[in-house]
This record gives sequence, C-alpha cells and structure tokens, in this order.
Amino acid sequence: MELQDYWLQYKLEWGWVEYGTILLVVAFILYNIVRAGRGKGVTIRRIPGLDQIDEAVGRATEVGRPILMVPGLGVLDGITVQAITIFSSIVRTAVRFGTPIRLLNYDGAVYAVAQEIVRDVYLSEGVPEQFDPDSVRFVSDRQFAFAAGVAGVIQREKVAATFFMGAFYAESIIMAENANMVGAIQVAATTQFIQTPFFIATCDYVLLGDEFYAASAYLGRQPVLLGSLVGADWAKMVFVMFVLIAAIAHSFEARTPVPADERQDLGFADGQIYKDRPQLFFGKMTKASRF
Amino acid sequence: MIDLLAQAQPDNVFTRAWWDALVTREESWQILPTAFKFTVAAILTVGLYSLLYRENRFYRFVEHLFIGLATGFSVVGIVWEPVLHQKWWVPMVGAAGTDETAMKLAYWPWAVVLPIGVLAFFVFSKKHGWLSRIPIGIILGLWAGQQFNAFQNRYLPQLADSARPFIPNQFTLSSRLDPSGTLTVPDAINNLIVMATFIVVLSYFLYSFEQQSKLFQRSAIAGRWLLMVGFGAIFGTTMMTRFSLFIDRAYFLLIEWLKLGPIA
Amino acid sequence: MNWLIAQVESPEPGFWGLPHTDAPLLTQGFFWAIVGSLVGMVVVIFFLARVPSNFRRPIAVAFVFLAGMFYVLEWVLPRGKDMSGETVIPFLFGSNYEDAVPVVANLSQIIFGLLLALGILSIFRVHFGRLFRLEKDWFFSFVLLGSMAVMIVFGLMNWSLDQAVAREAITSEQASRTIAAQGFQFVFFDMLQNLDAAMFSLIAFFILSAAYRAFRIKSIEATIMMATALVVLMSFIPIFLAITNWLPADQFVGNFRVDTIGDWILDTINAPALRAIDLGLGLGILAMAIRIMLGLERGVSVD
Repeated sequence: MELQDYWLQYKLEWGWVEYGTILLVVAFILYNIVRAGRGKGVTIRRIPGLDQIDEAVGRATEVGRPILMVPGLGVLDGITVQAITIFSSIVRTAVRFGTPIRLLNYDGAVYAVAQEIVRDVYLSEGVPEQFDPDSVRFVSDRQFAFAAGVAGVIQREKVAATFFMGAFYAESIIMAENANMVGAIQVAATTQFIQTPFFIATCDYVLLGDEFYAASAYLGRQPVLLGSLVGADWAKMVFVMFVLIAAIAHSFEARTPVPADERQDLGFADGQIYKDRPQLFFGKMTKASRF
Repeated sequence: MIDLLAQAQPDNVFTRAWWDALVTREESWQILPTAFKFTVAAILTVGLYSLLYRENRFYRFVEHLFIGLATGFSVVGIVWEPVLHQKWWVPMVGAAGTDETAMKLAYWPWAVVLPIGVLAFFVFSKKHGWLSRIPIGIILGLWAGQQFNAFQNRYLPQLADSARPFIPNQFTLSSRLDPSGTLTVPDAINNLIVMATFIVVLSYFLYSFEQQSKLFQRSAIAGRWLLMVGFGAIFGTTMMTRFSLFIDRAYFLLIEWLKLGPIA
Repeated sequence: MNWLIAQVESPEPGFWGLPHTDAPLLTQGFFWAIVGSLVGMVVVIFFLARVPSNFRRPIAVAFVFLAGMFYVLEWVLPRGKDMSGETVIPFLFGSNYEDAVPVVANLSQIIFGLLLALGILSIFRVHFGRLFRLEKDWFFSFVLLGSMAVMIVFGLMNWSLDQAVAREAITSEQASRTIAAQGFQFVFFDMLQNLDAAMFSLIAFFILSAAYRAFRIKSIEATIMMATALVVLMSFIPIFLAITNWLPADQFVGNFRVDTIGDWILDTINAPALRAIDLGLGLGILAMAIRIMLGLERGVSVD
C-alpha cells in the first residue's frame, strides 16, 4: 500500500496527550482494583437510594404483590449488564423474603443474560424450584409497545415496588407514572440524564448519574467494583485539577493579543484580536486529533 | 394488468413465480376507504388513552395488539430484511448473474455466524449454559472495545472546553457587538460560574470519601442543588416538545377524524 | 456495446468468495462450502460442550477479550493517508485494518438479529402457554399472537413485492395496488404508527401529573428543580415572553427578560452541571468496559 502521509496520528500536534490521558485513567482503575483486591481499606460513601431497596422489597412482601424490574431500553451492553448486576442483588433479597419478581426486557440478548443470572440467584439461594422462567420476560423491542406492555403489567399485577435502572428514554415517565397510580415504591437510576428529572418527579428514590455504576459496588462490596469506583474517583480529581490549571493558562492566553500577521492563519474574524474559546490551546488540541 | 398467477404452473408451488403471483394478485377492494383507516386509528388511540382512567379490557386489547404488531414488524422489518437478509444471507449465498446484472460472489464463511448465534439458545440448558456466554461475550467485547475511542471523542473536548478563561481582556459590561474573542467582565463572571458549577457538581460524584470535612459536605450539597437547576431546565424544555406531540394527536382525533374544524 | 459488457462483468472469484452460477445448487461449490462450515462449527461446538469445566472461564473470557481488542487496535494503530486521500490503517501483509471494521460491525448486528429469536421464544412461551391452558386473559394472548402473525405475513409479502419491483418484474405502481402492499400499508402505517404516536402523546398527561406531584413535594431540591423548570418553560411561551419584551435587549435591564434568563440558565448552569454528570457516567462506562474485557465483571463471565 502506497501512502502519502504515514503516522499521521502521531504527527498531529499533541495527539499523544489524549492517548496518555486515557491510559492514565485505565491505570488508575487497574491500580485501584489491585489495591482493593489486596484488602487495603477502600471505603465508599453512603448512597441514600440504595438503602431503600430492602425496605421496598419488604413492603412488597407484606402486601403480597410482585416487584418489577426493568433494565432499560438499551441493547446488550455495559449499561444493561450493570443494571442486571444490580437486579441480581435485589432478586436475592426478594428470594429471601419470598417475594415474586417480574423482570421485563426490551432486547433478546439482554433477556438471555437476565434469565441466566436470575436463575443463578435462585440456585445459589438453594431454591431453584421456586424460579419461574416466565417471571423474566421479553416484552417488545419497539419503544412504545414496550412502554404499553410494561404499563399493562404494572396495572394488572399491581406491583408493589419498581426498579427502573439502565438507559431510559421518553417512555420513562409513562412507566413511572403508571407505577405511581398503583402506589408502588419506586427506585430509579438512568444513564440518560435527560430522563433523570422525570424520575425525580415520579419516583421515591433516584440514583443520580454514575451512582448507577457505584450501586453494584455499594451493594456487593466486591473488591473489583470498589477498586474501579475509586480509580474513577482519582480520574475525576485529576480532571478537576486539569480544568483549574488549563483555565489559568487559557486566561492568560486569551488576554494576549495575537500579532496581526498570525490572525489570518488562525481564521480570525474581522476586528478580532484575541483568541476565541475554541481557538485556545486545549480546545484546539482536542479538535486537532479528530478524524 | 399482470397475471403472474396464470403463468405459474400448478406443480411448481413455492417457486419464485408462484410467490410473486400470490402477492401481486390484484383485487377490486384494494384501496381501503380513508374514513375506515382513520376510524381504526382513532379507536386504537382512544383505547390507549383509556389507560389514563384505569387499566381495562379495551386497553388490554389494544396493548396486546400493539405488542403483536410491533414484534411482528421487528421480525420482518428490523431483523430479517435489513440485517439477516441484506447483511448475512445475500453476501453468504451471492446471486447468479443475469444479462443485466453482474454475478455476486458467495462469501460462504458468513455461514459460521449462524452456529455462533445459535449457541445463545444454550442459555436454557443447565449443563451447557456456559456456551451462551460466547455470542454474548462477543457482543459485549465489541461494545467494550469501542468505549476507549468513544471516551476520547466525547469527553476530552468537553474537558478542554470547561477550562474557560476567567480574566477579562476588556473591562466593559456589554459584549453583544464586540468581535469574537472579546472577554468582558460579565463573560468572565459567567465563565467562572460555569467552571464552579462543573467542579462543584463533580465533587458530589466522588465516592471514596466519607465526606467528613465541612467544606466537602457543603460542596456536595451545593452540587446536588446545581444539578437540580440543570434538571429543572431539562424538565422545562422537554415539556414543550411533549405538548406539541399531544397537540398533533388531538388534531388527528378532532379535526382529521371527527371533522370538527377546517383542516389546516 | 462495450459498456454493457463492462457492466455485467463478474467479480473475480477467490477462496473466500466462490462463484454463484445458474447450475443446480447441489453442484455448486459455495453451497458445499456453506454446508461444510456449518458441519465444522457443529463439530467445534460438540467439542466445546465437552471442555472440562476449569477451561470454560478462560475460553469465554478469551472471546470477550479478543472481540474487545478489535476496536482497541482500531483506536491505537497508527493511521496514514493513501494516495487517494483516504485514511487507512496499514496492517499485516499490506492489508488495511479499516477494511475489517464494516465486516465486524455487520457480524455484531447479525448476532444481535439472531438473538431477537430468543425474545420471540420468550413471547411464545408466555402467550402460547396462556392460550393452551386457557388461563385468564387467554383471549388477549390470542390477539397478540394473531396480530404478530398478520404483521409477519404482510411484512414478508410486502418485502417480496419490493424484491419483485427491484427485479423489474412489476412496476412499483402495480405493486402498490396489490393486497400485500395495501395490507402492509394498513397494519404498519395506519395501525402500528398511530399506536406509536398515541402512546408517545400520552406523555403529555403524565408529565402534567408528575409536575403537579413534584410541586407538592416539600423539599428544597424539588422546589429548586420545579422553579427552574417554570422559568425555562416560560422562556418558550409567547405570553410570558410578551411580559418582559419591552425591556431593551441591548441594555443592562435586558438581562431580566424571561428569554435571557432562560438562556442564561441553560448555558451557564445546565450545560456544565450536565457535563459533570456525563463525565462521571463516561468514567463509569470506561471502568465497565475494562472489567468486561478482562473478565472481571462477575455477572457476565463464567463463574
């Protein structure tokens, strides 16, 4: 193959910094997983919504009605896997209380994973005969048909508690309001933060943002999950430091008038003498390595 | 008028000609009256709306009809036609050339995908359940591999943009008519607010601290409040779009179906 | 006539792409290649099923890791531009790594498509079970299965009509007058799409009742959220805009116009707050991706 421009990626200004940043984040996560695995006291703060799960399942047991879980409208990816991981600990509580469950799916592959994981929970609790394969169902893979089906199940079975976790879109409010109509306790978490306000308005407890990812670490206390949570924390702190330092650098850069002969190359508008925001150092840097 | 049915020989049932004949046979009632279609659509709409009162048999009927139609369409229109037929079957078997079209080669290795997919059905087997992890693992692995590039493309430019200059380069108030690049006092203050919001909200999402220090606790609470401002803004903007959807349906029911007013 | 010949020139067959001719199917190479690879896979699966249980986890994790490395390599491998200006990723033996990307993308789509069958199986389990045992609501299960069958039949008929049009066996105008096309038109456009729109528009009612409930919650957070929602909502509604429209936009008092306040909230508070929450989610996803690739996620890898 004949090339006119090779190693383009690394020739681009500062492209390696971006790769380095991501490698740093990966290193933080892996290092903390190892550290947590060695039993170094890694602790995480309280997450209020998650303390309510046992209470919600308990109340469902009292009234003798099922609990409902929906892993969102995602196809099989890390988000739905995370949702199902959280559900597995909810199901464990439900099995101990003897509460019936409903797990409604939007995707065939997610249904397969959920089926297997829920069955494993019943097996590990020593009651495989209580597992009803039809309690984990596929409803539909069309957004509003799924919403109609879930709303129907909520209303017909008068579910006592609902757990909406995963990627939800416009249908979130249809399902959550129907659950309100039958008086269910609701705990929700979504990675689509556009839907979070609607869950806040309709649900009793909402996990904000990446509390969703923290949930499985909080519930299970497994070293791997705790470690990766702490690693992500480190990355957040580094990013905050970066923003502060870069902002100072940008402040001085934005105050320095650009010499008249360089303005043309930078694509300045008429009468512009200072760099605009996207023309500042880091803004240009992150743009330059895009293809 | 074509009559492929006449050409089809009775002994070659299920051939392409027979199938074409079956689906292309014309009938006199072919065009359903618009009024009938509108009425069906309106009844279905009202059926779904009846959920607002409470769950009832009418809703249950429409719900099951909806799920049935939707799933049927997924099978044909979303999975078979664009994916399995176009991306798997046609490349795998190819096609013979005709006078006007070139032959398509048969890329037979696509055949191995079918057994891989079928492995997922082992999920119902107690003994060989682990085999279902292979197709699921392939899907999840491909997803996981894409996330590194996605993180770089999505978040690093956002971080760079969050680092805003906060020292004004022109000590005036208004900036509406100034050329781009001018940073007035209000701009600088807004930039400071943007950065403070970003950092304060992010501080709420730190988990590995018990939030003992007063400063950290206050910052986390402020972070939650600022988040609520952000969520409120989403709530307000989304409400508008949702109402326009309802107005569209109301227009269908009242104007197009019941003809209660002139059609715009 | 040269152009006509050039047009129908067949591609060069190779090992991976065998010719498809008019000869009977059983005499064609590609047919036996497909049969052979299916049989080969069955043999592979047969041996996989007999793998000792302590090898199962490494095998499953290896599949995940290799699948993940495909896109990781695409991300890190150095790129270049070829003579025509296309971005290429030079790989082993002079190949272009970028060529493999659509193939792998198709592969995952096909597996996804095949896995929908699992979902359909679940629907059959639930609803045929209810129908055969004549349980409560069996009639609705019948409706569901019936409408699904109708949609599949009309969908397939319509699809094969499209193919006939593509082969120029009939014109699209003729096709649109057939029972198949009319029936599909009715079940898809007149029924399914209207059902979608109706369900979507139901949100307007639910959003109102949710807003009413949120206004009644006596907490600082809910109050902050709904007050902001109100301000932003007002900044979109002409009546509220009219109240402050007389304030000159280019003077200091112009900052108190409803639309200016709404825009300010969106740009200055909403955008960075959502960026922060999004960054957290992105890090969560990245951590998840690492755990999945390394087989550390307990829910997915073999226990």
